[in-house]
Amino acid sequence: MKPPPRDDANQVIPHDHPDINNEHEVIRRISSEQVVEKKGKNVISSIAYKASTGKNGGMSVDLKQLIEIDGVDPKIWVTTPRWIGSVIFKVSDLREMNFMVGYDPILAPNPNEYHGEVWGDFKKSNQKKLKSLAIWFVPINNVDLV
Amino acid sequence: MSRPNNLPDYENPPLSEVVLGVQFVPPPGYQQIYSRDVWELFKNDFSKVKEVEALPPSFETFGLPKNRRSDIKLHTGASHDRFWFLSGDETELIQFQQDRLLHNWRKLKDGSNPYPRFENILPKFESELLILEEYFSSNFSSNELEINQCELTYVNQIALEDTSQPFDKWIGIVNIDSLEFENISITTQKLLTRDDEPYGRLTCVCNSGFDQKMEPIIDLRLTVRGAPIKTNIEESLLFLQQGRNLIVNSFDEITTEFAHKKWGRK
Amino acid sequence: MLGETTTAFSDQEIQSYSTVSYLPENRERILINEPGHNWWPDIEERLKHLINLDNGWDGYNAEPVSFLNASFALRVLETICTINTPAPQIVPGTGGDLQIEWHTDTTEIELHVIAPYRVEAWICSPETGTDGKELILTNNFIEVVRALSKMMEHLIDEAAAA
Repeated sequence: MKPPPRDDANQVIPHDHPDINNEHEVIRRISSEQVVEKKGKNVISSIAYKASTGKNGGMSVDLKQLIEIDGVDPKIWVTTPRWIGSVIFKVSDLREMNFMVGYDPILAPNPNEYHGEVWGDFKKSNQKKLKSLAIWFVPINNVDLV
Repeated sequence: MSRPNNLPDYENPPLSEVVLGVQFVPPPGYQQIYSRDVWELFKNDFSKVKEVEALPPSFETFGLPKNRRSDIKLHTGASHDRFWFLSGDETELIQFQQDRLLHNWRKLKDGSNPYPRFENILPKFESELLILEEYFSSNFSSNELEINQCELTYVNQIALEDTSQPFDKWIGIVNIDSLEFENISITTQKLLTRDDEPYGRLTCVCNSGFDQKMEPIIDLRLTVRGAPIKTNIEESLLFLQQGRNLIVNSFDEITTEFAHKKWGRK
Repeated sequence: MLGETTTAFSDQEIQSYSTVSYLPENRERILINEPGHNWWPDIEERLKHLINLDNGWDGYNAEPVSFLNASFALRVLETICTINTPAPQIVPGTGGDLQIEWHTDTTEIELHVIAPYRVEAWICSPETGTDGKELILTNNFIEVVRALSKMMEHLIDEAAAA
């Protein structure tokens, strides 16, 4: 994977990475901290489908194909070192929504060489669409997607 | 900076303390261990230090007509004390914690230090803010102080001439006429608006009591608290100036003509 | 109480025995019923839990909810909740932010507290239609107060119809 573009402070700049194909998939980890009760069911809060509030913030994901190229089981990767649920998206679906899908490896404090970001407009209608597109990758018990 | 011409003025106002303050976002990476450095910035004029309990974050928000207070006190494992940096004669102090800077002036019990006037205190506070901003900028990844709240408080201690003197000789908030109250305790809040949007409150707290010599007094405190238009020092100082005008005008309206004569209203 | 004192020298401790509060000029009716459940202790526990989350709690590099944001969220709740408002749910964002949520059969209200005086609100109710209404709020939450009041009216109507 080609290195991502960076600014003067060595921070990754939002980009649409050319080596991330539309056929690829990205995994979004979901913590039980972001599960709410809605109409008698447990569901994932909309905040899980929002960008981070920091500078150049995007929605963190793991790049599934990159994990597999290294011979690592993606389901084990996204549940180590702790058990966390996760959902999966097709890159093509994200790009159709005008999101950029980029590569943003993390060195510290929690290293993740398969880390990617989704950047774009996380307005309400897009959050709802993301919710409808998400498919469980590692389900959380008794939690529905919608 | 000059005092507005149309602002009520007194020869001897019953002012006992004035507090100017701002609340800001702590710069990333700042920890209590650096408070020693902050004291060094002001140590020449504020050589004494005292540690007191920190002030919780304070926000003026608007919604229900009567907000409840939940009595919840949030805390993390580590908490930053509030430091008082006192002047040698203890008439002024700087209050510092990771998200606050305040400057207090007080009248000594013997009254030997006349009120230096807002026009002289504000530039001092401005200087202190700029010094702190420069320190944060040089040592942490911070550009300007990001100020989200300003406050100004005037504390007046009105000496009653004797214990039988009715409060409404001095305070005109309520016409209590011949009712011979033993004590009074009144709090009022007035919404402050800018282009029809609320931005702060003027709070008036009035309590009867006794001073340290057991002389009867009325403690009358006026506070303006709210968000500046922009989060920088310049707008915060403007907020404090406007707050001063509001407080002085309100003080003039709340107190009686009898009181004004006693204090030498000009 | 009107907040912690910043005066340092004055002798008197202030006790507020009575409060005269500002009323909105249009004097809207705000629904307040018989006393409801006191969920404030649960909110206190939840906020304390969120500000003490480990770094990386989301499996990536999420921070705990910041003390400042939690304090502001608390103040917002004090400003908008009556004694009969149902308990909100509070979830963390990844950058120290948090979201306050209510979900009923008819109404959804989400307040994303990004920073003090920076709240992205979303209200979806019979009054707004299915797309809902997005608002950027700073210090004035009167629209949220109205939405909560309507939400409770709908809850009461549903209970009566049942």
